[in-house]
Amino acid sequence: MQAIIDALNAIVLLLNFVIVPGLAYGSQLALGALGITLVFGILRFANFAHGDIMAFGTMVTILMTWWLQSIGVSLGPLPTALLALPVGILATIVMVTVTDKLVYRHFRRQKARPVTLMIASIGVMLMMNGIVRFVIGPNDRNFLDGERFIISAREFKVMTGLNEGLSIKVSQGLTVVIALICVFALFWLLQKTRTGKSMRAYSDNEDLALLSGVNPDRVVQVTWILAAILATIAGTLYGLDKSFKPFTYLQLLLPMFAAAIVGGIGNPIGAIVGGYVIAFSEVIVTYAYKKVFIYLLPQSLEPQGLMQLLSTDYKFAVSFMILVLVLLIKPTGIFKGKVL
Amino acid sequence: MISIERLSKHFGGLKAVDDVSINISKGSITGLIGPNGAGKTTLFNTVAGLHAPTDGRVLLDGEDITGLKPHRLFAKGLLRTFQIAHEYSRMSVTENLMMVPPGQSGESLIHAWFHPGRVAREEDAIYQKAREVIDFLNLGTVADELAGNLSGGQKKLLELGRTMMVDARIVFLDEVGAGVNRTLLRDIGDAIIKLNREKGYTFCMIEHDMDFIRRLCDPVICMAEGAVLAEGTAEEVQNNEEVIEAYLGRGLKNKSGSAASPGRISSKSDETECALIGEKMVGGYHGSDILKGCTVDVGEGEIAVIVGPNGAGKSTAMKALLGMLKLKAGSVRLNSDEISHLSVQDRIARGIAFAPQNSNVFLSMSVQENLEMGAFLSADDTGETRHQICRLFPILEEKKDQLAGELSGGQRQQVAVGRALMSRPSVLMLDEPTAGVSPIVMDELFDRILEIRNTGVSILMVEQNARQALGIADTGFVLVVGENRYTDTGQALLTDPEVRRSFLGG
Repeated sequence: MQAIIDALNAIVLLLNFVIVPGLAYGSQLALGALGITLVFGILRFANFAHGDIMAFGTMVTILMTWWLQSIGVSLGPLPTALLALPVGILATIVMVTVTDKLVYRHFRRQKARPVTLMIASIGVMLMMNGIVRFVIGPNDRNFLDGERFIISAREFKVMTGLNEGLSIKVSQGLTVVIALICVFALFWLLQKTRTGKSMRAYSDNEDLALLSGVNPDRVVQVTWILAAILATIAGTLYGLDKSFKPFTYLQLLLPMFAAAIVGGIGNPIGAIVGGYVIAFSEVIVTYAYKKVFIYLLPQSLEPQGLMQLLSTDYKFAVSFMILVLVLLIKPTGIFKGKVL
Repeated sequence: MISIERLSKHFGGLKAVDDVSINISKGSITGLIGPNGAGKTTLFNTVAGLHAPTDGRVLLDGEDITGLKPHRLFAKGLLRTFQIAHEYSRMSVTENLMMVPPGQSGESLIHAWFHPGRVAREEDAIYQKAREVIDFLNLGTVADELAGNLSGGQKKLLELGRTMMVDARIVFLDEVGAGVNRTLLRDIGDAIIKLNREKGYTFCMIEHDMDFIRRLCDPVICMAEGAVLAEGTAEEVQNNEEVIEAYLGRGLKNKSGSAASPGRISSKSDETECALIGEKMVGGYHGSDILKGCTVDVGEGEIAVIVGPNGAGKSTAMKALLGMLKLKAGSVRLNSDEISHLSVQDRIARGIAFAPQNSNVFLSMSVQENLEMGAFLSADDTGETRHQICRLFPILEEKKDQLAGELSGGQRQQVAVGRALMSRPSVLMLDEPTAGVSPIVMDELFDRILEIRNTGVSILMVEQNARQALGIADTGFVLVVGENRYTDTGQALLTDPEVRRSFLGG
């Protein structure tokens, strides 16, 4: 009997510290990677500004949230940010459309090589980062309100009588639900609608798409709109779950690119799978398993150390290592995207 | 000098080179000709160490050099040049040449620091040599120019010059004449002859320009479908009936109704309305004109075929008609409306459809979706059109949920034609619809093309397989170097011996 309870405690520990955070973080990465992969597949360049597009969208959402909070609007148990999100998305769409017209369109017309566009995107990234820090400041911003937990550790312990508690934050639940909705909506768009098919056709074979009468300007416009929507949602969910700090979003670029490349860049399914692969790898190798082992092993074998493979300081190194390994072993990624 | 013994190179099931034996004697200039896909370049690559042969061996002066890496062959004096010139574009012509000799002591850090005198002497010698080569090739005026700024022909000369820097014994030239104008081509020819006579170089060259071959080469070897077809002097090979047949493509299978009916041909006269015409078109890429005032047209409900040797500008003419290439002069008209100024999309919307030769389907989309993309611009229901097309190509119905990328070449070609037809075009343009498909599928495709014509669609196509294509054509255009050489009914062209010879190029 005690053995079963110990095992259950170990499972709850893992759920609480590995599975639930992994799922939430993975969903955020997946949404970000989807935006990167869309831009890569259709505009044919690696968009380094994607992290800062996320930051920009989140910033607008935060400002809007604060204004809503100041006039006393709230969504009850749900964060007010959800109400502000559409405004953030609209602002981001306007912003990416303007950058496209000012920067990328020029290079597209010149038929510049992808590397030129990529470097231009680094310029956009630095500028955007500056704007965001100028407007909202470089510090941590918290904009979460409403209920904090769907289920808290204490409630869980009372409910089950176990030693270990399982807590699921509202932001985590929201992240997974909204990510699911976004992914289904995106796939429906790409697979079933005329616009989506023209995007896939353009990504597959640009010349033949032109010969079929696809309007390239429209495809590009729609792609930026989708990228802006996905980026703003991903950024806001990440901000709700952790906290908002402009530089964090710059750092997110690496795991997001790793996710897109691991899954196969240019391939939407790959981006989602890649997001979870990267998120779980990060969480799994940086979690300290000492307590899990204490539950599972007899007292005589109790571990002395923390049983942590890597310190959490190295979590970005994990995505970087996976990235290098995938590029060495299978450069097209799990789902055979385009080779970078 | 070099003897190639029963050499084979297979790629999977494709026998690119199959049991080829060739002897190249010292001091000769051997010409290698043959239609597209004959395996000429593969043979070169196999001999030059880029591919490992499947079978057979290569002897250089009796020494077995089969499968040696290119740099080892380089050391033995066997060099090859590429069809597209390779140069260090940011270095001057002189520097490009000075790069060639291997093992220069200045390349070693120790020598560069401790024996500066020796390095300088050596470099002087190499510099002198480079100057000699430049004088020899008449490149004096561009000696200090960056190699990237040279014209196509000058780059080819530079390529030849690099072989001279190491005193090559045998040089393999892959289409030195491709994309080079006539005057420079004569210079290149002069240089090759001079190298051959004065320095005793042996050459083996792939070439499409028959004038060039006639002037330089003896013997000439013709390859077709991976095997040697004929060998002899240029005259002999050029008049060899088998060689001409190989260039013309397979014969039309004997089937009534396949050939255009004589009635249709005679009805084609001045009053017949032209569905699509490109008149006196001039244009090309990077400043050099590929089209030099050629005219192609297709009458309403007719089949027009453009044939001609490599580099004649056939595909370029198609691109010009579609608006994928900007014309310097000339006009394109669709049903008497001027459309030269319209974009590709607008021309498609006006009723032109095009099935390109390469990457002709959306690989990651299903067959069904490929067809849907063809009807992208039509607002109304396309179900009926799709049914008609599927009746024409039943495979499209059978495999409608399969990804186009999983289909064979012949099936993809059908998807491509089907996709083009989905927009209900008045003019259908096909670029080599039978390239790379098996003979049976080829016959099928030609039958289908006739059926499409019978529904009232005008068809303009470029074809390698001249015999079969001209067999069903109402009008045939023979293009040579961007100009109209012959225009007549398909049958008349096929029987004209002059025309038949012109397929070999030049």
